[in-house]
Amino acid sequence: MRLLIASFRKDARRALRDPFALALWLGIPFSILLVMNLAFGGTASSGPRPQGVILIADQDETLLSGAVSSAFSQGPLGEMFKPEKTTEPDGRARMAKGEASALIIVPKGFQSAVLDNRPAVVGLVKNPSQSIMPEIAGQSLDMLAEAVHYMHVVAGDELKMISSQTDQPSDADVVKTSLAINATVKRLTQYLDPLLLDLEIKQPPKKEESKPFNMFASMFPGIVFMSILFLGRGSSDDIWDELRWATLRRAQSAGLPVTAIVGGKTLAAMLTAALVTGLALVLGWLFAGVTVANWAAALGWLMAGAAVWYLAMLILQILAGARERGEIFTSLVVFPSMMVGGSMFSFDMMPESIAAIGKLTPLGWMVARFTSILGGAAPAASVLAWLGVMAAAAAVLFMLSARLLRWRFLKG
Amino acid sequence: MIEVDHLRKAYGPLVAVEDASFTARPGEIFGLLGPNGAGKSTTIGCICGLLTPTAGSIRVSGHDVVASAQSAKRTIGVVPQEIALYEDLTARENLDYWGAVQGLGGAALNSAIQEALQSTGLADRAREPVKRFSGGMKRRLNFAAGILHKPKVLLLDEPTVGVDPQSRVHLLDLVRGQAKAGACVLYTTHYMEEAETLCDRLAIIDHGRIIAQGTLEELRSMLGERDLLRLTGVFPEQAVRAALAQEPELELLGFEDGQLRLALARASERLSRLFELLGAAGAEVRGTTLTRPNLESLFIKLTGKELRE
Ligand SMILES: Nc1ncnc2c1ncn2[C@@H]1O[C@H](COP(=O)(O)OP(=O)(O)OP(=O)(O)O)[C@@H](O)[C@H]1O
Ligand SMILES: [Mg+2]
Repeated sequence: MRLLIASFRKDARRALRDPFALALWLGIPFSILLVMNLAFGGTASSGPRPQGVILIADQDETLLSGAVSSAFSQGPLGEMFKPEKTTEPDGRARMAKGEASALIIVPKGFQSAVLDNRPAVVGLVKNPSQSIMPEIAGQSLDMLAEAVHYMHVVAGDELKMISSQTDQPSDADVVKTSLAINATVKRLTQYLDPLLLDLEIKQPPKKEESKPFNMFASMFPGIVFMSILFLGRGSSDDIWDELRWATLRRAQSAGLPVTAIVGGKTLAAMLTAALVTGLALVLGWLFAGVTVANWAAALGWLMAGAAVWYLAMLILQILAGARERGEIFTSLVVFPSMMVGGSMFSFDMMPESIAAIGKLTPLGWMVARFTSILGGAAPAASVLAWLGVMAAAAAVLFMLSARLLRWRFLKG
Repeated sequence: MIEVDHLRKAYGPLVAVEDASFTARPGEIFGLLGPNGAGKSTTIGCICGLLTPTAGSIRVSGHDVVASAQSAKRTIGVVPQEIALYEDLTARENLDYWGAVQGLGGAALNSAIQEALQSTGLADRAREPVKRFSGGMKRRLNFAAGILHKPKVLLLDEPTVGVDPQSRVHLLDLVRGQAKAGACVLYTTHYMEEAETLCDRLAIIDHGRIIAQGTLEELRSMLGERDLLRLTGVFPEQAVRAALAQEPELELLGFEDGQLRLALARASERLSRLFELLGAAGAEVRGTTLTRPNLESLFIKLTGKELRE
């Protein structure tokens, strides 16, 4: 026990010595959150925003193809993008010169394909030298595609009717059709003011008294876990310093068991996580409308998550066998996890099918449960059971990593 | 007490230590002298339990290092050849950690840290991170971290490499102090002078094999070689040659202008008689250099090569 404490004290000191790394572990996730909030957040906020020129080559020139371009000139996207009409060759030439963030090509036949529920292909050319704006353009297009899907769910019959019109419709047909089109366009505009659409469709039963959608609060649990992933990755990297400095061997020759070495490091990672994400929690609660139903459970969950992710990353590092490969191995887990596990995009923002898969990943599982712990939706018994699962996972990973470490680096 | 008995350590086909046996006793500094790759660190690694011997046995303070590793380790302090410190922690924090790992705590740890910082001359830099230390300062801290708990058995693996002469003298004094206080010190080095001045007994190791061991005197007598005496001054050649010719067990190696080189047994005992002889022959001696047969010459004699190459 004394050895474990000595080991923990040493690693905690070392972790807290590097405030820059701590700031990064918190800063990167939250700047992502900030950008996402600017892009998709509904509330009116002022201040200068990034403006990206977006070129639209509309080869279809129909109501729907027009809707695509107007999506980029209205609402929150309108504040970020300046859409400009162009032709495809001209657009490509301007992209080549780097004059715009993205080029969107709406091909001929787009509208009829959409109305017939056939696959419609919209081309997107991103400016490789910019990072954020083209990404947002791409994300927005994805959401439009979602909108089309929902449109078919909601207004499929009218749409089919429109597209099945023959050359010479009867008067009655015209009236019927224009009424239908009216209704559809109404709905279309509703969906094509696009970015709240996802949520509105998914939460219809929640009626009037449901709170306005808080983008920040929705993404918050995933973002906090992104911090934990970065933290696990960053602190597990430290094993290479220990090996380079020969400190692990010295500790071993002094009789420090490998379990105390790994245990100390895990505890230090948990402490750092508690400090970093606890701060985020307090700030989110104070200033951004994040609800915290149970502080102890929330912090406990974050620390358990930190232990699991730290140990998982440590195992990957040891298996990788060298620092550079360790970086690659951990990236291969961290970034895909973040994409589908609710960290880059909250589950609310994802298509339901992907969200369902995402929630099955370890990260998604933790984020979803963290969301319900924060919201107070989880009964205490379930929280305890979940914590039990986390503790068991951490215990298995702990034994595994201690063994691997001894076998890989500390046997003579 | 360190008892090494027919130790063998092989890394696959490479045999790093072959049939090494020696005993180092409490209060004694036992030297392990050998060139790069001789197997010194491997021997230390086996003694402190980092490496598992391929064959043979080692007992430290009466505990077998394989069968009762923890009991053995509790009595050992190691100063590894590599500097094994946390670069991002301060000197004091490093000592705090290594002391705690070696079983110290509370006030005992604090006073041990204070003492170690003082004795290695690092007290005024104690609050600086180690990465800002010079190589020699890191060496000194590396040393301090191994002696904090005043171990009964101290394993020192080339602890003075890169340390300036003054600090080195100081470190060697600390080593002597540990032995005087009753510790059994195993000291590896490839500096022959260090081995000669520091060690009570020595083993010379080459290619994993101990090729000679004993006290410095015993090793020297293995040489059976004569001392080398170099005299400068004014020497009338004929008279001097005649005078020296009468002297038994003495060989005139060279007679140059103003310099005389002689080889003779037990030179120091015979100096005054030599001066008398030379004075009677009308010579005037201004400078004397006596070189005793040393470990270097022994190493050359045993292996046919120089220690440092
Ligand atoms: N982990 C290892 N795997 C394979 N061979 C090794 C290993 N460690 C040491 N050796 C070999 O064992 C031999 C003895 O090495 P050792 O480090 O004990 O020498 P040394 O006397 O300490 O030398 P130096 O003065 O350079 O420190 C060398 O030939 C070395 O290459
Ligand atoms: Mg060595």
